[in-house]
Amino acid sequence: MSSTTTATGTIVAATDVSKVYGSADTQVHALRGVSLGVAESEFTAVMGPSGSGKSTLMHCMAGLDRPTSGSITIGGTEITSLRERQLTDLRRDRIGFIFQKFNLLSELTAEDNILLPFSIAGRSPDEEWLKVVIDILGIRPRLGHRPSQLSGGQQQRVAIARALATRPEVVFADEPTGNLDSSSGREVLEFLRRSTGDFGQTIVMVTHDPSAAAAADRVVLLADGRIAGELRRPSRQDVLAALDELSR
Amino acid sequence: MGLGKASLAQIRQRPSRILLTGIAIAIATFFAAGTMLFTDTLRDEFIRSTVSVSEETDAVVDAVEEPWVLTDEQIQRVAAMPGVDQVAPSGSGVSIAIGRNNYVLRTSPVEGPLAMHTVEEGSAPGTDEVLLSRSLAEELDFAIGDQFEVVLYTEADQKTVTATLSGLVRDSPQGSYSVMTSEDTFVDWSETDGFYQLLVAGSQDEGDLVSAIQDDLGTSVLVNSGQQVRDEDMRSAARQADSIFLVLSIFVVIAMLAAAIIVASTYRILLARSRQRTAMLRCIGAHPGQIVRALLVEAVISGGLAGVSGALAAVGAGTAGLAIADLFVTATMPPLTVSVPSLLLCVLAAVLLSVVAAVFPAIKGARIPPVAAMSSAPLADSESRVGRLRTTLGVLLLLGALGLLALGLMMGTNEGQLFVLAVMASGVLLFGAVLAAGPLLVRIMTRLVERPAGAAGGIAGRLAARNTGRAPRRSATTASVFALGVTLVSAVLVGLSSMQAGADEQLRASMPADAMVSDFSNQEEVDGLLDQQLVDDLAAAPGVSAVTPLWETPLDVDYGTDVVEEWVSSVDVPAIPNLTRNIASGDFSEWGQGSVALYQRVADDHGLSVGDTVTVGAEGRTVELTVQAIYRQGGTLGFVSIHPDDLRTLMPDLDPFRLLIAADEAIELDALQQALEATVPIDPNLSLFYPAEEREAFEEIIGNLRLVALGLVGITVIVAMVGVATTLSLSVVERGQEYGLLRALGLRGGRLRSMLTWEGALLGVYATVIGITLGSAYAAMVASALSDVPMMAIPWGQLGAVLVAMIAMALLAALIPARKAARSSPMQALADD
Ligand SMILES: Nc1ncnc2c1ncn2[C@@H]1O[C@H](COP(=O)(O)OP(=O)(O)OP(=O)(O)O)[C@@H](O)[C@H]1O
Ligand SMILES: [Mg+2]
Repeated sequence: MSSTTTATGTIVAATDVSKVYGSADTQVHALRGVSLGVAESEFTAVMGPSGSGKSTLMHCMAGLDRPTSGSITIGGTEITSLRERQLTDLRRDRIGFIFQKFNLLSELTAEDNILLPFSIAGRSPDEEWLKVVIDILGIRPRLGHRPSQLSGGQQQRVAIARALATRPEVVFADEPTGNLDSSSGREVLEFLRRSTGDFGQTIVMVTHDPSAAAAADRVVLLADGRIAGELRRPSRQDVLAALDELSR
Repeated sequence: MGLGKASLAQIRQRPSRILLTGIAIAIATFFAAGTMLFTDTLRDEFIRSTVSVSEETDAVVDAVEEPWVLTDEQIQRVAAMPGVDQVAPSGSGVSIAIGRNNYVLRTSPVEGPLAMHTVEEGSAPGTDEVLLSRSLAEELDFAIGDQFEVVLYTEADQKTVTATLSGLVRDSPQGSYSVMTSEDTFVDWSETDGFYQLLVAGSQDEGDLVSAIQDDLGTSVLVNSGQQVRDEDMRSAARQADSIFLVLSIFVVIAMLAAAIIVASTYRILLARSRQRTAMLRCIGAHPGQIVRALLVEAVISGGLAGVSGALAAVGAGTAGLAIADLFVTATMPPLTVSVPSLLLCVLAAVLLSVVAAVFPAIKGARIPPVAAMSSAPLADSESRVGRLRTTLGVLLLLGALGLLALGLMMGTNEGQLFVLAVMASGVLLFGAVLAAGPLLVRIMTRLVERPAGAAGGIAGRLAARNTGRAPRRSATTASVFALGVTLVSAVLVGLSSMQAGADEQLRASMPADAMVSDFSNQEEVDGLLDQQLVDDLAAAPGVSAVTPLWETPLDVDYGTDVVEEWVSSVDVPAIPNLTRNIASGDFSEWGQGSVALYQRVADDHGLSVGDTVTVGAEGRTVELTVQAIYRQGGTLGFVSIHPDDLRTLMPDLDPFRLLIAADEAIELDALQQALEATVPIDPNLSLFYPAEEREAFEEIIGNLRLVALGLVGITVIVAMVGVATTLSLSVVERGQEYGLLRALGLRGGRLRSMLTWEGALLGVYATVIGITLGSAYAAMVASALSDVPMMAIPWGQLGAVLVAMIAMALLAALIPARKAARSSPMQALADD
């Protein structure tokens, strides 16, 4: 159980990660020796064709799934050897999640949804920080509303606030714009951008949408369970071209 | 804290959740609380009516030495003691007869602090006057001021006096069959030397009074404090109430178990629906324990609310019930005893039940992998696989049930108690098997009925069969609880019918004729009251077709192995057809001089069979007899029965003990009764019996018992109905999108309604068929094991009614969900859960 010390500035590090689903003749190699470091305060997007292993990689990095081999560290902690309890605590305290379908609790108000991680942890929030997040996301007037009274974009903003509220070391977002129209999607991406720029929040986002990827600092391309390339601050066209390249 | 806030918010937003999980428990709690209230009230009423001395009685003096009476001098001394307000002797135990009925003569104070009974109407009894309870006066048709003859039995002989009814007292179990009179009349009539008991009320401390009297009167008496006596009485009354409570609590436990199963199933469905939510909570760092705890908070709230409303409803119903009963019943109803600790206990039980029901689904629900929150596809309820574990368990339980049943059958009727236990345990195991293998059975059932349901109900029927089979686990759970209810109902009906049939059979054996006159005067003597004159008079009475005498006397019976003095009966058996039913071996076709018939157990005990020889003797004479028949029921014939000619040889002058009277076919019971009452002299030792009357009385008892038992098991049926309703309702909610799609494809709302109705019907039929089969089979087996004569009466009519009623119940339960389904709109197909 070696805890690999990663280079300064790397928050999440995957080293030679493989993931095999099934057994014997029905084996699927979802990841084949992926190594990837996510730098602090960087907005990283993961892209690739369907079935390339994007989700699998993210699940492994976020401690939701265990790789078949390889190691993953978050903020210096080797997580593949952690017990389920410790993994849960790690997710609670050090990781934020943004879901495609927002996943807000319908019975709670926006505010209570944002505070949910604190309820779970039994901690009180950093009020100052909370104020900043809520104001930046522009959801203060909506705090008393329940999810059913909010638009999709507003719901996702609440979900982002929930993810940022605990000041996690890294936020994982799974197709955060997948369920939104393009203008709400743009807004959401704008917030994610600002949170890296203004607050130094590290974000890893899986997406299919080239425009979404274009909002990221760095785009990692996956194909057939392997890293197939990487773009820095690409434009939408760059992303499209790279994808096109991949599928050829 | 944790997720508690979310739980509370969830309840506040959707109170229907509490309704879904609470209503079954509320009903079970209503029942439990009702049982508590009932037995508490009963206990108080028992205590009220059982306590033999009044609340103000301070000391009870009993004579504990020969001649077992208190002298006048002793009574005077106590009365003169300082601080003594009232003394009154109390006497009881003298047997008297009014007409043909026997009662107990008592005396006890009706005025002052010592009075237990107060005169409700009329006045306290004076010389040769008596008090009767209101219902006894009604039964005897006496009014205040009426005079009537009373036969008194004293040690030496009997005498007749004329009594006047002076007043009426309130009915009480103690007072109902007793006749109260004044002290003087009691002494006069009963010719006693004094009273054995003295009641004392005083104004000084009870303990001091008791010791003062004891010191004064010495060891020939025992002085107890009034409190001691009352406590002892109360203890025995409470024991009675407790044993009733024990029986009732079996049904309460069954209903509560049924509710727990239903509620657990409801939680399972609710949790399956919120898998995405649970996964998200796990994802953002909630521990499984927190999720379980959050659900348990909900369960506590739901159980608590259900418990409180069930308990309150029980109090309301009890109060209303007593008030209504008060209007229609002449006797004064006791007040409802509301014991707060008992009710709190019920609420606590409801909370526990709710928690127990929730905990396993919660643990299972919390086990969902957090990664599930990420998948955007709606999570399928993965229950459609019937686990191999369940099937194995089902088979094992089935084998266990069959094994126990076989064991029980092998032990047979000789081990009555054990047999019943084995059969009941087997029934429990079988229910377990049905519960475990339920999903598989439901699968099979739906596959079998899909075609016929489709033929009968078109697309609605076909879809209903598919839907039922699609979530076999929840369908099976609901159906199993329903089947449990139906099983109980069928068992009650078959059990009671068999009991009735068995009782009828016993009645035929013990009262084989249309009417009987028995002589209960000293049976050891040859001379009795049933002389030839009476036989002739009876034979000549209108409506009487035949009079057959029956003798009974102790004789020396030599079974070959040993000689025993045995009560031997003698009657012309072939003349009474009811006596030749249930013959184990041989027959009465050759019945005549030299014949003997034996009770089966007697024959078995002595290793005798038809053709063997038995010698019977009396006063030096003997006759050698051949066993002609062995009978199973000894109600009339007793252990040994010989021919009247042989009895005459042995005891030429013996008068019959009983006359068996056959009536003309045409005559009504009333007319026969009138003719016999007129012919048979009024003598307390001569009793007239009419089996038809006894049968009617017994039928009434069975009828009441049936109502009570159906009421008790009915609660389980209602809980099961709630289960069907909640399960179907949840299914409707769950399948909203699908219904929308069906609607969009052109299925009319009415079709959806009939689809749900069909689902209810399928569950109902499945449960009812299983329930009736199991209930009837097991009850018939127990019943036949318990009676002397193999007796199982299947009440086909009643079972048919159960079939119809239970399916109707299932349809009723499907009503609300069906209406909801019919309101599905095509828009729901587009809705995104
Ligand atoms: N639980 C699983 N069991 C078996 N195979 C799986 C499982 N999850 C993913 N896979 C397989 O692993 C491979 C990678 O899947 P993954 O979900 O990571 O792809 P993806 O890049 O996220 O695709 P998409 O863009 O369609 O979401 C696929 O071939 C998929 O079929
Ligand atoms: Mg994916």
